[in-house]
Amino acid sequence: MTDIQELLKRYELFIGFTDDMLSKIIHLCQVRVYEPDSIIIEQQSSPINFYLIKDGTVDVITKLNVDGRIREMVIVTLGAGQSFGEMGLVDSGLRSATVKASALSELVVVNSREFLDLCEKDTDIGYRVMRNIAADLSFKIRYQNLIY
Amino acid sequence: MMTIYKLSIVVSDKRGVGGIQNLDKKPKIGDVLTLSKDKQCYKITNITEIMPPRGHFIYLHVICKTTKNRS
Repeated sequence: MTDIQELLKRYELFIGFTDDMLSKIIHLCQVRVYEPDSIIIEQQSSPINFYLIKDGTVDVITKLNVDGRIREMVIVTLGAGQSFGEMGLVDSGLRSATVKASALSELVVVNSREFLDLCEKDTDIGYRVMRNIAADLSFKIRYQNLIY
Repeated sequence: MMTIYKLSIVVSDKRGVGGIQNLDKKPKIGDVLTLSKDKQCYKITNITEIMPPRGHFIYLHVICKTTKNRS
């Protein structure tokens, strides 16, 4: 069992995964470090990767047009054990928000295309991933409904 | 596998302030949380289940109020 395989068990995206399934994922993972204030995802860009936060925090920021002025608003701050960018796995749409490191952050970066190829090849993995993403999005919608 | 508590956090006396955090320890009323967004301390006043547990994850909704302490 590798360190990265053990780390992956801490993310909801991999709930229900066997060790054999996780061993197929680790080949797609890269660990990258982001300095505070560095942009990880730009709003309206194409979804290339998704991210698992190993350490640090990131701000999810949307740009709003308020009376003709563009304002940035932090909609949520995410920390270790959480993920972002996985909506691109579902809809392949442009990024709906900017994500910026709010502290020195260590992230596990996974290429979305390679991950989806694995999900299509191994449908047992694909089913679990899509169910886990649906549950995570459900949690985030419930949170948004409660905060405003 | 260790239980992970995923929290949806709302601050009752500050509109729009909250966050999502994962904890390794079960939170309880009276505990103080620090939101990474503003580094302010918040005391937990209410805890409810927001979704049924999945795997080793437990999903909780936590209501907090501002405390005077800063981390």
